[in-house]
Amino acid sequence: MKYMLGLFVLIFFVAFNLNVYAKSQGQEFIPMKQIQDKVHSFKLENGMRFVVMERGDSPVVSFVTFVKVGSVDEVTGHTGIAHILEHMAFKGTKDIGTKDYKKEKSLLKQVDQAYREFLYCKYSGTDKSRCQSLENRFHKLLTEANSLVIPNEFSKIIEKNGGEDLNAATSTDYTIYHVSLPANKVELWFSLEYDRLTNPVFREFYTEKEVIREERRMRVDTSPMGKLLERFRSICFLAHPYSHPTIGWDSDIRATTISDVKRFYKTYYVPQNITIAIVGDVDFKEIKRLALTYFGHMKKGKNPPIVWTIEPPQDSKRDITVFANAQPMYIRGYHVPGYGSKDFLVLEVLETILSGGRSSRLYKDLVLEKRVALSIAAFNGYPGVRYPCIFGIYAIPNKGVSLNTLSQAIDMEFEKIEKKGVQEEEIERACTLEKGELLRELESNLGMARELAYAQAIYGDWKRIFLDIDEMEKISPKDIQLVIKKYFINSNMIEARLLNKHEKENNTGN
Amino acid sequence: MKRILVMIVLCTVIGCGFSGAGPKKYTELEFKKQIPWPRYKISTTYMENGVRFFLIEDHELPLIKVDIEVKGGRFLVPKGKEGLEYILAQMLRLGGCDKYPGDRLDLFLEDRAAEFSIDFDFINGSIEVDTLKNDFTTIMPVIIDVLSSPIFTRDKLELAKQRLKTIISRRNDRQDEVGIREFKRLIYGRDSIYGRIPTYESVDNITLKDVGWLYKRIFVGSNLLVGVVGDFNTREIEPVLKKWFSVFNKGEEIRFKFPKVTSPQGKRYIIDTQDTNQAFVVLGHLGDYRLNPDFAALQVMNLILSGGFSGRLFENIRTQMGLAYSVFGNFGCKRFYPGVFFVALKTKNQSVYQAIVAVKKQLKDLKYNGCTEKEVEDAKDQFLNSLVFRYDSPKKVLERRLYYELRDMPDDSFDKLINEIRNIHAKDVDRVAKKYLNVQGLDILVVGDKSKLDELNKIGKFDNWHLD
Repeated sequence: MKYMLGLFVLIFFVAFNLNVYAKSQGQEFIPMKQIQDKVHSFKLENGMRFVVMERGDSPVVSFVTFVKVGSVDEVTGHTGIAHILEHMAFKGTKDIGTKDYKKEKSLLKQVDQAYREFLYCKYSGTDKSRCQSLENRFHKLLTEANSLVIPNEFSKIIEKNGGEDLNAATSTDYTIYHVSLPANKVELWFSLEYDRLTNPVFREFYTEKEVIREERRMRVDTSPMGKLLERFRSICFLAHPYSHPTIGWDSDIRATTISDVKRFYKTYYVPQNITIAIVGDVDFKEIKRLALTYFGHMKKGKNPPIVWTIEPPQDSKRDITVFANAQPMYIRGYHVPGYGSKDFLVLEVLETILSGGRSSRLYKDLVLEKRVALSIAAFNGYPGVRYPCIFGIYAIPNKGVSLNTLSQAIDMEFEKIEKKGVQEEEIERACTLEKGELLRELESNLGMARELAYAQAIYGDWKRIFLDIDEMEKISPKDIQLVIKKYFINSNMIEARLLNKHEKENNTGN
Repeated sequence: MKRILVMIVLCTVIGCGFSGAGPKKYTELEFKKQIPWPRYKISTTYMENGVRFFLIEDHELPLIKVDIEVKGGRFLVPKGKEGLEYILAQMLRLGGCDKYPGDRLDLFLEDRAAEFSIDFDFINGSIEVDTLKNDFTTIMPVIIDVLSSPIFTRDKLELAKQRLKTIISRRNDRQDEVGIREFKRLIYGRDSIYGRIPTYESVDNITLKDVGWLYKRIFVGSNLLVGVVGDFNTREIEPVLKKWFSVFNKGEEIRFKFPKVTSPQGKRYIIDTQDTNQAFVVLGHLGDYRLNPDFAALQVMNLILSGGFSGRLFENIRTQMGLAYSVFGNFGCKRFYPGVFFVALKTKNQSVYQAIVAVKKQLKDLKYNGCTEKEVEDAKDQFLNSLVFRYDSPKKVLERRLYYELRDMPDDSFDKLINEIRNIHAKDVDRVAKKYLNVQGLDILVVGDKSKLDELNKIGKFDNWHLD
C-alpha cells in the first residue's frame, strides 16, 4: 500500500489496512511471547467481548469499539445506513447534547413523521403544492427541534478532557469508534461509551444527512478514484451486498429516516456483536471491574440477521469504463474466497510478493524496469473479508502509457508466475516484510487496539494475529502457483478503467 | 418500557453481586491527578565536521529509527529548474551506492524488513531509516555510503524525470489538491520563490550537473542533524555513529534567508472544473511569524476557530448548517517567513455562496465580538489535558527537538509555549483576533464548475486563475 499516491481512499472503503500478518522465519525478531503475555480477554454474560493489553511507559490509553456491522449488512433502499448511524453516534444521549430532552423527544418524533409524509408525497409525485407545504412543515419542526440541541457536546467533553484520535469509520464489514485519553480518564470513557451505546439520541439527523451527502460528493462524485472504485465494486457483485457503496447511494441517504436508523441500531448494536479493545497504561483487573459495572448492564439482544445471499459464480469477464476530468487509472480484480478459507493466507502472501515493497514483482517490473507505471498495488480482501471477496490490482500509468500496455504488463507477470512459479526466498521476504509491519504497528496503542479488535471480531480470536503466522510459514511456491491457476483466470476477472473524457475521441488504446 | 429497562438493570446489578456500583454519569466522576509523563532524556553530541546528534533510548521494541534532517530544500532550487529537489531525492534512493546500486539496495533492505526514505520540503530534507535492532550496524554503513557517495546515472535521471512528469500531468485531477496549492501561490505570488512549481519545461532543463550541484550544497556535515531513537545503548552507539558520519566534510552551513512577501488583498479567483457537483473554497490572507510574541494567543484562537470537533467553524458550518463534511482552517506562523491564514471547505455548487457568507460571518464575529472566557478555558483544557500525547513516545520528543534545532530555536520552546498558553485569557484572544484577522482583505479562491456558480456574482467578480 505504501507506494500508492495516497489517493486510494481505502481509509473509507476498507477503513484500515488491518490484515497485517507476521511470519516468523530465520531470526525471531518479534517478541511474540512477551506481547501475548500482556493481552487478556474476557466476555461478559451478555456476550460483549473485551480484549485488553497492558502496555507502555506513557500514561495514555486507546479505546476501540468495534461493531460487526457494515454496508454488507444493508438492504437495497437503505445503503449507507451503517455509516449514517456512525455519524449519529456523535450526537449525544438523553443527558448529553440537549437543553430539554423530554421536549426534544416528542419533537424528534414529529420531525421524522413530517419527513416521512413529505417523502411519500414526493415519491408519489402527484400533488406538488402539497409536497411543498409538507416540506415547509418539516423544516419548521426541524428548526424547532434543533433549537433544543447543545451542538457537539459529546465530542467537546472528550476534547476538553484531553482526548485525542477521536473519530470513527465505517467499512463493508464493520464500524469502528476510537479515542485515546490520558490514563486517569479511563472511567470517563466507560461512562460516555456506555451512555452512547445504550441511550443514543439521533438528534440533528436531517442536518447531518446533508453533511453526509457532502461527504459523498467529496469522496465519490468529485474524486476520480472514489468514483472508479464505486463503479468497480458494483459490477464485481451481481447479487451479494458487497456491491453496496459504504457511503450509500445519494437517493438512499435522502430516503433514510430516524426510525430506520433506530431499527438498524437495535438490530446490530447488541452486546454480542460488539468487541472492545483497550490498549495502554491500564490495569486488567480494573478494566474488568469497570466493564462489569458499566456494560454488564447491557441487555443481550437477538443475534443479528445473517447475510443470505451468495454471489453466483462469474462465468465471463466483466468490465466498466468511467469517464472523468482526470488522467487514466486502472483496476482489475478476481473473485477469491474470504477469511477462513485455506487459500486466504496464500493470497495474503501473494499480495506482498506482488507489490509489498520496492523489490516486489509488480513494483520492480512495472515501475522500475518497464517504467509503465507510476505506482501499483495489489490488495487482497476487497471490499471485506467476511464473505468471498476480490483480489485487486490498482495501477497508475506513467504519462503517455496506455492502459492496455499497463494491463498487458500485468498479464505477463501473472503468466510468468503461472509457468515458473515464485522463489522460496520471495515468500520468505514477504513474510519478513509483514512481520516488520506488525512490529511497527505495535508502536502505537491505537494501532494495536484496532488490530486486536479486528482479529477478535472478524477472525474470531485476537490470537490469530500471531497464529496465522504459523499457518503462513507453511506456504510453499507450489501453493502460490495453485491459487494463480485457480483464481487468476480471464473469466473470473473484472476490469475498471478511468479515462479522461477530453481525450475520449483520440484514445483508441483505452 | 422504561420501567422494564430499570428492572433489567436492577436484576443485573443484583445478579453480578455488586453493591451499588452502577454506571455513573460523567458528571459524577472524579479523576485522579494526571500522572506526570516520563521526560525522555536526549543526549546531544556535536562533531567537528558540524554533524549534530540527538539520541534517545527506547527499549520497548527491538527497533532503531534514524531521522536525519538536512538543512536545504526547495528554496535553493534556481528558477527554471523547478523539481530539482524531487529529482535529487528520487535519485539518491533509486541510485544507491557503489556496493549496493538501486535494486540491490532494495533487496538488501527488504530482506531485513528495513525502511529507508528521502523527502525534501521547502527549507529541509528528511531521511528516515527504520531498522530492526540487530541489523542496525549492518544497514547504517550502507545508508551512509548512499548519502556520502551516491551514484547519479543518466538512466536513473530519466526515470526520475518521467515520474515527475507523470505527477505533473496528474496534479490537477483533484479539487482539494489544486485549491490548497494554488491558494498558497495566490498568497505568496505564483512566480515567487514560495510559489514556483515544476513544469514539463523546468524538468527537461534539469541536468546531472544540477543534481550534483544541489547534492553537494546540501550534504555537508554542517547541515546534518541526526536523530536516533530506539533500542540501543547511547555510550556504545555514539562512537560508532561518529565514525560513520566522519566521512562528511564540514562544508558551509546553509543560512535561512528569505525574500519579503508581498501579498494581494481582497482578490477573488475561480478555477473551472467542469461537471463537478461540489466546489472547494479557500479564503484567507497572509499569516505571521513563529517568533511573534502573540503566537500563544493565536494558537488558542486557532483552537476556538477550528480545533477538532469543538471549533466554531465545525460547529456552525458543518453541524448546524450542514453545509460541508470537510471544513478546516488555521492561522499559520512560520519561523523564517510568514505563514498563511486560511479557512477551507467543500460544499455543493448550490451552497457555495451561502458557505462563503457563513465563513465571513464567523470571522467577523470572532474579530469584532471576540470570544467568551468559557471558550478560552475549554480550548486551554483541550490543549493542556492532551499534552501527554505530545510526549507519549520518545520518537515524538525527538521529532520536536529536531524541528526546533533546524529552525535555530531554543530547545525549551515548547515548554515556554505551554506556560504562555496557561496564561492566555479571553482578552488576549480578542486582541489578536482583532489585530490579525482581516475580513475585508480576504482573498478567495473557488475550485468548481463555473457554469453552476452564478451566485458568486453577489460577492463580486471572480477572475480566472490559470493552472500550470
